Amino acid sequence: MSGIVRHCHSQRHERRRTMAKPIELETTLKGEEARAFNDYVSAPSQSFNKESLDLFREARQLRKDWHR
Amino acid sequence: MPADINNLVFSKLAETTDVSMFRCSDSDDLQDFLHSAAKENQVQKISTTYIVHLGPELVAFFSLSMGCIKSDFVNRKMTLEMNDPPNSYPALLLARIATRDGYRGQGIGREMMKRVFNMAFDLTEQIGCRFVKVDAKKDPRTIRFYEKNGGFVRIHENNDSIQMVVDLTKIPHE
Repeated sequence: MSGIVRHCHSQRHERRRTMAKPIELETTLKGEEARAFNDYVSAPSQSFNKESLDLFREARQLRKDWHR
Repeated sequence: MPADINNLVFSKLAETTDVSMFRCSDSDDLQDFLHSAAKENQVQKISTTYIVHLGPELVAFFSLSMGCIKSDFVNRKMTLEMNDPPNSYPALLLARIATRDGYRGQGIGREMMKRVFNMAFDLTEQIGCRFVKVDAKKDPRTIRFYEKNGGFVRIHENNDSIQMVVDLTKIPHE
């Protein structure tokens, strides 16, 4: 690989390094979003579709060493 | 040929894992995250990435962190019932999840979500974790995926993503 090509590869690599956006750990809710979130949190229950209920059941049945 | 999900192998991303062939044309961000950020995030304990192989092929990955949801809403009823009602909740954050080009629509995403909830159920018992939170791409198909696979509801929207959560206390035990 020539020096120029290697330099271009390196530049592309450097550019790629900055493309993924950082993980946003925190969500801050204000106004209407905060009110709606409170309604959700305060609701005594949630109606789940069958696919989700099956997913939860299968998730509970997984072996603890699912990642080796 | 459809993927045989029974043959999927899940493992933790390692320094030696070759991720260079992973392609996700739906999202530069997802591909770039795995190629350039996932390993360093793992060293720094910002996120842990789990990879999924089908035979020799790296077909999918997901990354988890601990997140937080803060709300400025004052719940007067809860204030009467509790001295110090929470306005901040811990959450398991599904920071990234992606399936490689050519393998989507075959149930691999659902298999990954099973592992996410398996971990969330453990966490909520062991350290306190109220929600699973995802940062979803603003795309109807993506949003439908989370509604179908976990009953996620939207809580926040910005220019390029929608944040969705599911309250672990609302999930029935059986």
